[in-house]
Amino acid sequence: MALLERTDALDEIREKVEAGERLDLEDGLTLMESDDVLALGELADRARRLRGGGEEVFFVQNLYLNQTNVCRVKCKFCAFAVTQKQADAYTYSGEQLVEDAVHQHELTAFTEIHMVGGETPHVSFDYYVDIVRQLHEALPDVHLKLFTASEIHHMTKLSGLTHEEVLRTLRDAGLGSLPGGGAEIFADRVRRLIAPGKEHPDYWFHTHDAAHRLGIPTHCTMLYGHVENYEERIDHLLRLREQQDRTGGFLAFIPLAFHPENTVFERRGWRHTTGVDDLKLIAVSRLMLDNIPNIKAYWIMMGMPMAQVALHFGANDVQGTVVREQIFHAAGARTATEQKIPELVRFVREAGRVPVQRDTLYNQLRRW
Amino acid sequence: MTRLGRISYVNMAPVFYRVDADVEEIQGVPTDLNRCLLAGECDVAPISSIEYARNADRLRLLPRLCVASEGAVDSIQLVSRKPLEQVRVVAVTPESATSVVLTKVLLPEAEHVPLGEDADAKLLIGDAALKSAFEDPTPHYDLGRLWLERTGLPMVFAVWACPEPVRPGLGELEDALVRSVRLARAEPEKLAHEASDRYGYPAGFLARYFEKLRYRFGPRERAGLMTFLELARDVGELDEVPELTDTEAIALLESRDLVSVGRAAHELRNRKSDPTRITFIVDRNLNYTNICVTDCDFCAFYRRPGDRSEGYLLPKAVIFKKLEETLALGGTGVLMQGGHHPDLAIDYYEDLFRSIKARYPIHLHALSPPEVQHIARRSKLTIPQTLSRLRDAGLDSLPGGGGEILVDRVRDIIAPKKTKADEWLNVMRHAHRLGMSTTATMMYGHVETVPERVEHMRRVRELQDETRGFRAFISWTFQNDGNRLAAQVRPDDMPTSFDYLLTQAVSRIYLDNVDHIQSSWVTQGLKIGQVALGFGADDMGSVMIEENVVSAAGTTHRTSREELVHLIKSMGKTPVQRDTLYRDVKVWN
Repeated sequence: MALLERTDALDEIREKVEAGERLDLEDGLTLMESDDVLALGELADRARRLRGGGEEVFFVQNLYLNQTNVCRVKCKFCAFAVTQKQADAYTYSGEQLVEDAVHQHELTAFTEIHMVGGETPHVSFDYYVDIVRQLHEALPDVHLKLFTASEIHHMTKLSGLTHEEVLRTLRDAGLGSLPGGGAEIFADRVRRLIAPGKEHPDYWFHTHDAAHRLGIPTHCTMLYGHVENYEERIDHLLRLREQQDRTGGFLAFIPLAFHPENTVFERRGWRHTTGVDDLKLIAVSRLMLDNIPNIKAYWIMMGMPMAQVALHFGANDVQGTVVREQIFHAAGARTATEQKIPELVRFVREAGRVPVQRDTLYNQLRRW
Repeated sequence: MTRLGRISYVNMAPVFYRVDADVEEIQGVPTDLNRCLLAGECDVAPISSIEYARNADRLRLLPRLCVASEGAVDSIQLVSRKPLEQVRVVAVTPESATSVVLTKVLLPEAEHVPLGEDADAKLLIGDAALKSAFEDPTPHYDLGRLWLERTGLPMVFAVWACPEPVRPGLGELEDALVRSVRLARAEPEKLAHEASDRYGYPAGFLARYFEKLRYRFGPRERAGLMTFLELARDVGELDEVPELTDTEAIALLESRDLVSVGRAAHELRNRKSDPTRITFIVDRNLNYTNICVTDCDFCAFYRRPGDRSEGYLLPKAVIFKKLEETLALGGTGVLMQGGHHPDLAIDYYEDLFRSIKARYPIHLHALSPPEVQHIARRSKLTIPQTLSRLRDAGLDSLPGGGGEILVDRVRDIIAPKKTKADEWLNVMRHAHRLGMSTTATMMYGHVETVPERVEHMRRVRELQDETRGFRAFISWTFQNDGNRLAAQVRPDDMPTSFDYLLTQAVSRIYLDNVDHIQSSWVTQGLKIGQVALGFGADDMGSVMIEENVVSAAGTTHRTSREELVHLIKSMGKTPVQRDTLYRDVKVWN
């Protein structure tokens, strides 16, 4: 006996989307609870287009660096951090980073350096300012997207400066924007469970707020698929939306699926998010975040096959060609770490979209 | 000059808003226009969906235009004082054949009488329905809304058709009509005002009305039309449902309309099998030998006869042990396939099958058509003789392997020594005639063209019309590691997940006579394998206690029963372990 699959619950939301009205917490939960993931995808794509999105899918050529893997915080989801005493601990000097970056730049003409690292207590704030300055001087045309809000907060502890002062100093040394890491899930209950040593989420917002007010654009993320519930996910998105209303400095939102391998959660039998979970989250993010222009299907996390499909579920950015990525791969991400431009272009075209290479600020550099 | 039919209803206003083409308009109510069109007095006209279907062999459709609504349409109303389930007599207008059939589909028990006679409810269409909704306080039931609630699909009321032979220049005329709709959509207020002047409704009302109508004949509209026609056939209003044509299937495969095609496929899947359940099987692939004389370029599994280091033929004792393991793990069947071993004739298989069946209660799903053909040749038997002897020895059903692409041009490139398309189909035909059901497969994304994929599906659909013996269709993409075919497929031409999902969805839409579509997590990975369940598949295939062939070609995805159950549950569906014949083994409620 074939039963009718009801789509009524989405009708009201569809009307709101068509009318350009904001979705609220209840709507977000209805979306998350819907099992009709293709209807969500269609709705998200519709929302994207109604808000001015076109056929373009963006990607950037960037270099990933990690200045250190030494970290004082013991986040339970992290398979990258070590203590200073561990044999594989490293902290690169400015010279080492510059040498590596300049060498890589000769091989691949990246336009952005994405660098984050552990919160090492074994350096001073000057270390950070120096590495920014040295990278900027060595590669003045390369955009420096450096340091999560957690690291900025860590630098206030190291220096005794305010967040604003830290950011201003870094900006003056050459910092271009902040990546979105460290957001995890904002809800206190979740943070206590997965990252008890990490600062309160107010600091994350405080940092991004200060950055936006200084004219430093930033990114935002959500690490999902661990202990959080649907309400906590939507709450996270709504907090980002409120911040964006206030300061408007978020360039893109990047949902990050949790990888349990090599973390304590693996031993507890935790599973990966499913393909449907990932697509649903992309769609719901697009629908809820009506004021953030770009939603990224981060192929390093999702794998290129899923990222390609996500382009029809509300995403308009695939991150891009990445030279070396270590943090997710430490946690078992199995994607190839370098995606060549022709391959990326092919995937995007195959999905019926127009590949556009962008710079960090979403200026178009090349169109296919 | 092209003679273009025009229904004198307000719903046509956007299509005729600004027609930039040299045409002679022929006005009429739908029934008049249908007659004109079939008599060849009109070159192209909107025709009600049911009339098109009744005359499909004499008409050709414009591919981009229809009149449809997703939900309420306003202009087709059932006016009833009684609740719908109590309606026994409906008075219907003769003006619109499709609305009358739609009423029959939605209320199959009710008798129809002419408008004006005593009835529990009356069907009003077009302008009469719009007026009545304004003036009559009796409850009105919008048939577009009832249809959406019933099927989840848009309702296509009319399509644009032209009589065969088609007059030249209609493509350009269609362009002009599509442009007119686009322009009308861009100027909704102007459209509403002009239509208000012409038809006499308030402009604001018309603006809302036009928003409810759809004129684009997209994948979901096509699925809606096919579903309507199937249901019309079920209530005796139509002799035969026109199938999706090859041209339409090719257009869907070449479109990048992934989500729309997927949703259309999903709705059709929901009509074919229980929408609340997703099935899978626990069985084992047992490759009894890898020795093969056929040398297929895409195969990384086989070894040539005489290869003493890597060639094998499993001893019976090993086969038995594997079957015992399978049963111990809750498996119900074994998928037994192997190379075309030059020394093995029918007596080997008869003996093996008999000894298995004598020991184990296990479904024997074995020997793809190329193997059957090989055994027949080796044993100097006909295909029917071979199959009936194997069946008598215990063979339960045939897997669809070796289907690849059922087009000889392609087969001559990728597997020149293997069974030709007709031979493959012939083995299946004889198996079906002997009462053995089988599956059908497609391996694509190598040297075939898009029309050749569709030709493959057509060959399967045609045989299925003849025998009804295919239980399921399974398609997967070519895997390019460790085989010679990889050298012939440029890395840039390797199929992507997008192509996979689209092709699977089109197979669901096109193969309207096959009950089940399996997704292929083995080749696509568990994420896309799960996502594919929203794109027309109703089954996740096998847990595969052992798999050797795909993994030899470089792809090694693994799963367990628990994982499949988790993936299915997380989609809000009930996981059901089935046996090879799709009977329930275990239901996770």
